[in-house]
Amino acid sequence: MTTAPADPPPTDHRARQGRRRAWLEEASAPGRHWIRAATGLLLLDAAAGAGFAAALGGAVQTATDALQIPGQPLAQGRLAGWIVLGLVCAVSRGIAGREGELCGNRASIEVRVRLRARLSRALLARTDRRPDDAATLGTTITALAGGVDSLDGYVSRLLPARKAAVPAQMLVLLATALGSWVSALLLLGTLLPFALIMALAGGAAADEARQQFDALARLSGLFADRIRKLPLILAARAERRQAALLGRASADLHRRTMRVLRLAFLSSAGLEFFAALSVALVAMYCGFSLLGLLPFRSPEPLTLGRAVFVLALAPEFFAPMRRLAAAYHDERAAEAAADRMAPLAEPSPVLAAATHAPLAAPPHLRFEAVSVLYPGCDRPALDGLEMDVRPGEMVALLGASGTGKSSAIKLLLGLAPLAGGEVWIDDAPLSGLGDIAACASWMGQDSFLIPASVSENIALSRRDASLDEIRAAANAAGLEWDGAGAVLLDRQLDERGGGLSGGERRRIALARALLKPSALLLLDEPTAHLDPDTEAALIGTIRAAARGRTTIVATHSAALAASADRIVRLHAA
Amino acid sequence: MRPAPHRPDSIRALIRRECRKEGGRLLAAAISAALVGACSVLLLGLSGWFIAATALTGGAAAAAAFNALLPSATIRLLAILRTGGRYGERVFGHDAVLRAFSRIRPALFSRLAAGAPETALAMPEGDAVSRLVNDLDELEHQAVIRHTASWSWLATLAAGFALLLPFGGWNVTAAVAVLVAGLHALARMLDRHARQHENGLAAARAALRDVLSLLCDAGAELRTYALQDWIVSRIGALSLTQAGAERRIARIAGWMALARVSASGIAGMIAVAAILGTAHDGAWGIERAALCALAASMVVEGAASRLQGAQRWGEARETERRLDAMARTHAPGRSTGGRPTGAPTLDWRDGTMPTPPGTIVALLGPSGSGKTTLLHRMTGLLTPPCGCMAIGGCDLAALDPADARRCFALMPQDAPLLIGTIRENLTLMRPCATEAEMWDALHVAALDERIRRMPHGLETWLAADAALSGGERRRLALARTLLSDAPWLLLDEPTESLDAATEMLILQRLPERLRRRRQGALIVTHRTAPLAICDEIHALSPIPKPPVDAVCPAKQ
Repeated sequence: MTTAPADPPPTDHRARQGRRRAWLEEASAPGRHWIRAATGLLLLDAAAGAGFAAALGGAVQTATDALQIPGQPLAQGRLAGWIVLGLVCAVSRGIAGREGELCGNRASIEVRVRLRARLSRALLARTDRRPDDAATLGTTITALAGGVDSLDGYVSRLLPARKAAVPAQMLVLLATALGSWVSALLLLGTLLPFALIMALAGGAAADEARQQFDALARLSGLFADRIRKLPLILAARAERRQAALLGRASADLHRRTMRVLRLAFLSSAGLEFFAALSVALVAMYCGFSLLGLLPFRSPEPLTLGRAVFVLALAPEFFAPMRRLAAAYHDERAAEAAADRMAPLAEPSPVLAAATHAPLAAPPHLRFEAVSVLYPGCDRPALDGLEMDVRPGEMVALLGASGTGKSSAIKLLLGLAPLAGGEVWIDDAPLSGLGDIAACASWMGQDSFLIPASVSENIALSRRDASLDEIRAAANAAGLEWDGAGAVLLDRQLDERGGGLSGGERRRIALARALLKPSALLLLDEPTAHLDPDTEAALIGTIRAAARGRTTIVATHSAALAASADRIVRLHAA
Repeated sequence: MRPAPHRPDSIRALIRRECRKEGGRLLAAAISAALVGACSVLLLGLSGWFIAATALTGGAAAAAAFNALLPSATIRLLAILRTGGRYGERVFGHDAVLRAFSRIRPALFSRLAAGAPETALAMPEGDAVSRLVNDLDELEHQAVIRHTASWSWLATLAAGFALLLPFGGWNVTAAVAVLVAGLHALARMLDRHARQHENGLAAARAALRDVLSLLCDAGAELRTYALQDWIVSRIGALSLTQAGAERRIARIAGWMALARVSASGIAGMIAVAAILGTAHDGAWGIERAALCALAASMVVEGAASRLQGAQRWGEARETERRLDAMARTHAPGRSTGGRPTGAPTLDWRDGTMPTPPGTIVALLGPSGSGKTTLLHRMTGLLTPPCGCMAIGGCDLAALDPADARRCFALMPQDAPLLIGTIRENLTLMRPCATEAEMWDALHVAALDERIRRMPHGLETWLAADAALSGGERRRLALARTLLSDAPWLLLDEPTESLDAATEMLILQRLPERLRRRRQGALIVTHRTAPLAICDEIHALSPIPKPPVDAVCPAKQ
């Protein structure tokens, strides 16, 4: 019977948690100045809160003075002064709140922009990316876009709140002590059992909650998986059963989540209880002290003004911790995102840094028993390729899908790992060079276009090229005679190269390849998905472009292969 | 007759409907929240009055007469009630929303499954799915916030006015009411203002995504033309554009924070000024001032707590729009032109002889000649054009996809496995498969020994990339397809990426099983070995895909 999916093998949550924390800490380092500013503003907020309480107490005291000394009129000026102080403090708190949010936003932007750049660089340096893995590709893009953004709340709210929590509490405590040190002791007295309970129960609850958050992430993963495999599920007529399975898994997760949440909320209820208790205790103490009904001699002279001051301040004492508890979700979200992003930044087999001097003449390439094995695959993508490409020769690699045509080319660019054998470029081994991308030009079946003019798109391969050089390359690629009308070099393209025909896109890519002064031309399925006429026209251009360059072209097209000097057939291993 | 396809309602309506089913729990959450709001105001107001009253009773004799026990007991009661209320609010609110969403996820899945099959086929590509999952999580989070904060502010207002009206008088009450109303009006205004920047933010995010997909996709160009620095700086620039849009929205949210926090203090000071400045009733005036000042601050603060999530309103709207766009494409109803019975004959409609049931056919043709497309059409994952094929005398285009899927069991080219156990993967094609049947199918796929050696056997958990290698995954997908009772198995590259020995083993066992179960098979392959077991070879004419250059007349 199919039941709700069982748990995958348990992993060591604590160790994982430590790694996540360290990773997040490192990632948020670039924002530390803004985080510090936001923390400072939170402290300012606490100070202004104390000022407001003082204004309230002062105003009440002023009125009381007038009442208790017969004949003395109400000191209108003093009362107004206290009220103005209160208003100033109130607005200061508002400003501190606003500026704090903006600082948090700055910190978050700083962190996210840096992190995205860092992850992008790490990704570019990877040599072991598996090709054609759409799901992995999607996950990577999401991690880089949405995952990085998930750190927002963590950096902008949680980190300042965490840094400010203890100092802000101490500040409030100190202010309270100035008004009534007994009340300060009372506040501290409520804090101690609270901290104790948190340390005993909170830690365990947080651990459980974290595991639950992982379970939630797993449900999301299951949901995503079933949507991704929808074609399979539809073909198997299993959509009802899978929907029911998702329902059961969700309901099951809901039950378990609630069990943990009840526990987790107990800790926040504890916070709430001690916050309320601190207000009640301070009120009791002040009230009975003012009445003179304390069971012991009042240890300090307490006036009504001071009493109002400490009472108004009491809720502020637990406010920093409440702020921290409210940012709970931000932390969980950041941790989940960290799990997705950390693997992207992991070091991968980095290429030897040696750079090959630009090839002056078309190189001689010799493949000796070359194998390519992608990580996680049990079968090499390319196995024992023997091939000799003489300088200036054009060789076509022909073979069914999966025989490793593309891998042979990607190997030269450092996009596929060399698992065995050696490629000799003239007399230098590829394994010592790392890659020879810098000396090569490349064209694939999907042309990479950016939102800019056609000539800027061509000039991507050599940013310092003059207009004449670009025009010459475009001419050589047959760009200006393509189709009915000429493609204007200064025509603006949108992100997806809208309005261009398939042939025109390939020709832009070819022009780009020709603009770069390279003696090695690598082509991967340059004529795929073109109609026969367009293909025939493009083959002529490619043949002309290959003159004077060592050229390797991977293709399915018999016509294109026939135009090469030599055909090398690849067979499945 | 099939019912006319109805437009599924929006995701917002779906959430609302499912949440409404949790009415009891939501009500409990709302009442608890209301309790918290009311208690917070009463607690502070009463405390203020209490200490003022105690201070001003004057003299030991009067103190003895002052009943301090009742207010102090009330203060303690309120503290406990508030704690309980907060707990109830959180537990009931989360329970209700999580319950609702545990139904919304499968409902959304069913909706996608009922949608146009082309949408389903596009799912594995790109990041649409990850976004969908994120969006749903975000909506769940929003719903929790919304449902737990909803009534708290109303109760705060009610309790506050109940205190302010008798003790503070009309002017204080009116001032507080104006402040609260002003805050809400401001929140609305700022939200409208923020809405103008939302499009900019969405555009910036989309542009960033485009460049990021370039980063993941165009490795070869980036390397050959040394564009690494260029693309990283471009990602940086677009990140900053996005950040700029975010900052504009944050600035608006900042004004709200400023107004919210200031207003709470201002309310308190207004109460003090109004009562102390004008009152001529001595001690009673001071007591009232202490009560009203604290209560007024709490009222404004509590009433504004509803607006705390205001900066995320826009985010939620964008999320809903995205989900709606995804789940709204609906499968067009297809008129049924009969239903094939038993094991149907395949009529290729290209001049070749029809293929009788039980035949093993090799489907050949160069890349791009439409082999996989044909298999997708046969299983209703792509809408077939009229006259492309007939199944048991019925045109494929006129066939209900459900009937077509009964005839054909597909093993897709990428051999996808579900996240779950091996058993769950096997039972996908045959829910009632027995243990013996599973092992039998695994044997044919040459995977039985490997799985028997695994410590958890059929219960082995298959996560994204662990447990099985690429070739083993393909063999498991084959075993799963073999379990189907469909008269035709459609096997897309079943032995691709297997070593020669395993391939031979499978090709020995496969025909025997197919004959025994009287099943036919269409085997798409680029390899030569599988051809040996085929009774018939069907070559697809190498018609290229519609040229990219051609302009689709429908779009003109």
